[in-house]
Amino acid sequence: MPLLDLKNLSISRGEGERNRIIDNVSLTIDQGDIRALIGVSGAGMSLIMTAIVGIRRRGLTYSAERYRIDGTDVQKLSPARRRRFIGRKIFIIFQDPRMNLDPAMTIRRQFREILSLRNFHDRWYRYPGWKSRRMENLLIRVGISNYRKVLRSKPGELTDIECRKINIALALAYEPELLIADEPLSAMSVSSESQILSLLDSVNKNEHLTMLIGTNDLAPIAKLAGSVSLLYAGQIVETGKTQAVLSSPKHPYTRRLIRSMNEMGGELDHDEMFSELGGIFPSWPELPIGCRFGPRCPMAERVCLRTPPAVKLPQGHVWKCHFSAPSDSE
Amino acid sequence: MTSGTIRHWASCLWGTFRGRPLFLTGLIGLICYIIIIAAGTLFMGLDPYRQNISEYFVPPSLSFSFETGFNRFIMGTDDLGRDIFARVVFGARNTLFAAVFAAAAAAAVGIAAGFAAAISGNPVLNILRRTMLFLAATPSVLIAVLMTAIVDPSLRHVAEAVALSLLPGFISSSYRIAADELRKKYVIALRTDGAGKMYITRIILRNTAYLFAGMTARAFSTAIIDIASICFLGLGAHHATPELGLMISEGMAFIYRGNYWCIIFPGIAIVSAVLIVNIVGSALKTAIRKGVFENASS
Amino acid sequence: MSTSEQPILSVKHLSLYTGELSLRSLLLEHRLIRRKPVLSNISFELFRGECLVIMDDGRSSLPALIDILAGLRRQSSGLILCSGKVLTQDNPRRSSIIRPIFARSERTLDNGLDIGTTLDIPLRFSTELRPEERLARIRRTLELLRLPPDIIYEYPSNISPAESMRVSLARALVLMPRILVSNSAFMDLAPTIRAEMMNITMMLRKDYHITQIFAARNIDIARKISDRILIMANGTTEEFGETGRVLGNPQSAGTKKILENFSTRYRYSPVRD
Repeated sequence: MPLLDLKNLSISRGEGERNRIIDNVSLTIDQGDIRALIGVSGAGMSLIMTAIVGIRRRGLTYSAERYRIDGTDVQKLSPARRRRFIGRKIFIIFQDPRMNLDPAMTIRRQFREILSLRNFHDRWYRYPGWKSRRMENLLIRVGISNYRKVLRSKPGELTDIECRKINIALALAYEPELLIADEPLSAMSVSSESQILSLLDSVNKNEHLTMLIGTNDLAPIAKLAGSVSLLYAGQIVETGKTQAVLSSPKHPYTRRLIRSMNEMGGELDHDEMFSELGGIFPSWPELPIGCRFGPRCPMAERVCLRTPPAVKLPQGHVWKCHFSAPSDSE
Repeated sequence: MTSGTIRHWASCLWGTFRGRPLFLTGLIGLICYIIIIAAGTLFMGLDPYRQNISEYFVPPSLSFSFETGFNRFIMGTDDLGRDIFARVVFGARNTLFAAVFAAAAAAAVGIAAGFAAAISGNPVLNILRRTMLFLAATPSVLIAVLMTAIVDPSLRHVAEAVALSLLPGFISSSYRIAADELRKKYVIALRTDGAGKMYITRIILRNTAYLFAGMTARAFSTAIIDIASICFLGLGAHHATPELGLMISEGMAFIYRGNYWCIIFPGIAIVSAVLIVNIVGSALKTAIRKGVFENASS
Repeated sequence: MSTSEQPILSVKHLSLYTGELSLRSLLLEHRLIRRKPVLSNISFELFRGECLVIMDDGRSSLPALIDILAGLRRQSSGLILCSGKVLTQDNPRRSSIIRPIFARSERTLDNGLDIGTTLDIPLRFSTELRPEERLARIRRTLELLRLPPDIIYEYPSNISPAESMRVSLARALVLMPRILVSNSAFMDLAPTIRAEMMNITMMLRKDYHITQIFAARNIDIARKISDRILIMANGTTEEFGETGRVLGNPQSAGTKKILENFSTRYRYSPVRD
């Protein structure tokens, strides 16, 4: 049973297909998996991720055909129970590392807040000093060795990378089942990036934390993510296990992305130009009808004005295109 | 400036007030207040000084006839037979004018000084600014009381003292706002473009104007209360001058005789003025922010 | 690039110290202000039309170096020479010589000004052109970057991310600088926009011989776009030289360590068939 089973989430600003900012997005994440959600500049991604956690924006209508977490149908719960349930299962880390932290509280207090929220399944929980020991252990776990100083500090006194690690430590303190990270690697130097990535990897393996990572570039996390979903203009165009999608991409957009990843990865000579996609990225209110990649797709025809059907391969490789078996020579 | 700009600001103002009953109420209140004060002092021939010894402590009554106008005093009379309504109208004018002067002077000088300190980066100004921070934390009334205790009482001195007491707050706030804005990337980009300090000052002022509008409105309402308080303490206007705080202090003795109207009406005048100023100030702040940041083409 | 011509940019022994009031230094060294080195002894050379990529170990205050090059900060010691002539911070022509590109356009474009004004500001303050000439220059720059000419009436909040990235570049180019500096080499952008921007900068190098300096986080991209590479560690120059030589045959141990850090094990590597 998948941990997150979200089917056909739509977020609209009005009536009709062209007002659907997020158009029938489905995310099915299995337990223990790391899913990368690849999309441009976070406009659609952040909406989806905050919608999963239950944060809504005024003026937008949200609807989903099915939304289950760990088997429980979330939409059938009362609002209060829903909040508690989602809050218990999911933890979200935002793009700005300081957004998760209260700038006026020391780190120790922020840990205390989280650790006091409920009973943890640890028989030593009631013993004095448990919380302190736990927060120290968590900080060591995320690679912060000067934990005493960090605990005493407020977020403003800490560096960005430390704040990101603290966010992950807080997430671990909370013991959720699903961790959602909105662009966790933005504006990071390379050494910080590799630290965070290995931390996420080990957290996923040791604490069995399922993850949904939203980013605009697959390349840095290609070997970390077990599966990947590609988002274009509010539609998920392809989903599947990373290996499968990388080795045989089916959707034209995916193919373009992989070609561009190859080029960035050093396939070109010094003087060659990168291949460009051409056209502009559609955004509300000028969203195309039907397949939103149509205007920029080399294979587009009239039929692409209608919503493309989903084509499935075994093992969860799904994509939406009218041309179900595009030739591999592009 | 094209006509589009005026239209843009008009639509921002309209957009701010529309659909927000609180702001609309404040605006209506402001208009009524201004009309009453203007009409009262300019047209209606009210005299706050005339004493009718025979008609002292007349309770308020609204009897009205079309031939003779108001037969009795709307708000009653005080112990010397002076028309309370006239005194409230003139008193409100005095208090408000003094408050406007105090707030405007403090704002103009304070914002200019704070900006100058932030943008020029002059270390001397910086030190001055830090001392202001200490003064800014002190309640303004205290500072003003200390100042008026030194000089002879008059409304003008009260206004000046209140202005001085509001000044440190403006200086330190405007410094902080300017310094924060200077650190922002778009200002750094302007510096690399070669823009001079004057231009950067203009741009920063434009982008932070709404903050100052809110601050000035708050300063205005603080000034109203401070001026009324100081006059209440007797350190301000001469005792015959109509002034709201003074009227309250005079009226306090009369309550025990059941003559509530000497105190209630000046009190209502003060409270409503402060409320209206706060509400309309908040509305203006929103309107200015909209006007600067929401663009004509969107 | 003939070696007989002078380098367009020559940085010699650039250092930056910050001072902080320190009681300890007062007692121990009899000096009230303790000097903390941010950058020490950075030296490199660049020729016209080349691209320099700077890679560092994450602790090296790269933004400080970029600030100094862009003229936002004054260095504590050392020289910056442009075509042999010393470039100081208060040189009024400096903006026309070295221009920074600000990447995050939502923060760097003033949302209360339309694009036309934003592009006009550098021209107004750093050149002596008349208004018609300024407008012509803006139009030509927009054309060069394939932006629609009507964009000068738009406001930053109304244009797409790809367009606003080009507008940031236009703002840098409108002064026709000789050198462009950028702290991120478009790393934070989505891959599609990044490809476009890199093509544009490559075109600027080839056709207009505009020298470029980028800070990069990706060895493969660095190898592709750069002619020379500067490796910084702990605020000093670790190694500098032609890209092929440095990356293929790194001399110092520090360089090797930094280069190792860059190949993260999670990164996608193209399947070469």
